[in-house]
Amino acid sequence: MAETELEYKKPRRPEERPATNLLELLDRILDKGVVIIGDIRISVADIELLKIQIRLLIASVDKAKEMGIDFSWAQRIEGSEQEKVKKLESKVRELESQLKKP
Amino acid sequence: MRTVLYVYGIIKKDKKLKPGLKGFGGGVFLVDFDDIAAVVSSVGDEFSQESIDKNVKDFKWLARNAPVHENVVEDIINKTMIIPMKFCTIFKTKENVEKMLKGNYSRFKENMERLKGRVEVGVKVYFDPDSLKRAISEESPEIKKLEQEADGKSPGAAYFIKQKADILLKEKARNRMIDHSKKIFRKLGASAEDAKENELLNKKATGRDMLLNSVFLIRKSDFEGFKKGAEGMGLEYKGMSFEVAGPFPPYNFIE
Repeated sequence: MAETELEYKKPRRPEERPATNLLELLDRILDKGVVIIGDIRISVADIELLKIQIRLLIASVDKAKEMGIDFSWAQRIEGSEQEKVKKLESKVRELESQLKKP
Repeated sequence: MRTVLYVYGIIKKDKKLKPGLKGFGGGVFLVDFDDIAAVVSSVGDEFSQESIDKNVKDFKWLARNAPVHENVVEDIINKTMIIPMKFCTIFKTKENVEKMLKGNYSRFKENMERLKGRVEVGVKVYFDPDSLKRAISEESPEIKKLEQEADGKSPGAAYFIKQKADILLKEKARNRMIDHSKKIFRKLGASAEDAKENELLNKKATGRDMLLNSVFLIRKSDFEGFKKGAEGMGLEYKGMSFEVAGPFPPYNFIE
């Protein structure tokens, strides 16, 4: 039986992807897909942490876009963005310590 | 340098993979077992357990490498069905890959049959709580009555009555939300082969109020129609916005 040609969206070079697409991609490939545990893999704790970070970052990217700021992970992060990232980082550290609690 | 095997996914061995397909390391090749094969690349220390534990905390590393993984998966799925692995699923030896294929053979075959020619579509629905509340208070006789009661009362008494109205409004809004969410999910699911709800993303994460976070499994040939249907539904529901994303490889529907 002939295979149907599946036309998924053409893969783009990493630097062409808008930041939100990247974050959604990460969200998808980090813990979806077949459950096969490799000899080497990303730990469950790291995946959970990444999912939290991604959600926070999605907010930042959208807000930045709303305000007309171009927010690109592949390029340098500008002044006011650095502040936002620092705020996010401290929030993430806070969440990390919460995760570590038994 | 010790090399290990990065696995992108599993395919049925009835198509020849184009040599020189780009990915991590030197290139993409197959490790076979029976009539299936793992799609792999030989990679080095960057993908040792120690390095990975470090690299996944670096968003720039993720930004560079996640698309490489996905590009290989999407490139292959345009030619033949591939069951995608999670990002960074790595085996130390070829023998271990073969063992994995043997141990999961029937599961892989079953998934391939079920998911052949299928794609995944994501539908996220956002709503505006103020629009929703406005619509409800306009329609609800109970709330209107309470608001009328509050008028002409002393500020203290009016405050308590308004509180009552507010609580009632919140409850109705919540019920309405759940109602809409169920209806939309059911309606969209009716034109799909399978459907899943994922957890709602928090307002703190997206800046908006999410009503529904869902994915649907459909035939590739049905994608355009499904997308139009979902977007059309979005226009019917005032105060809501529907975001349709895809088509994607069916990551959410692998069993």
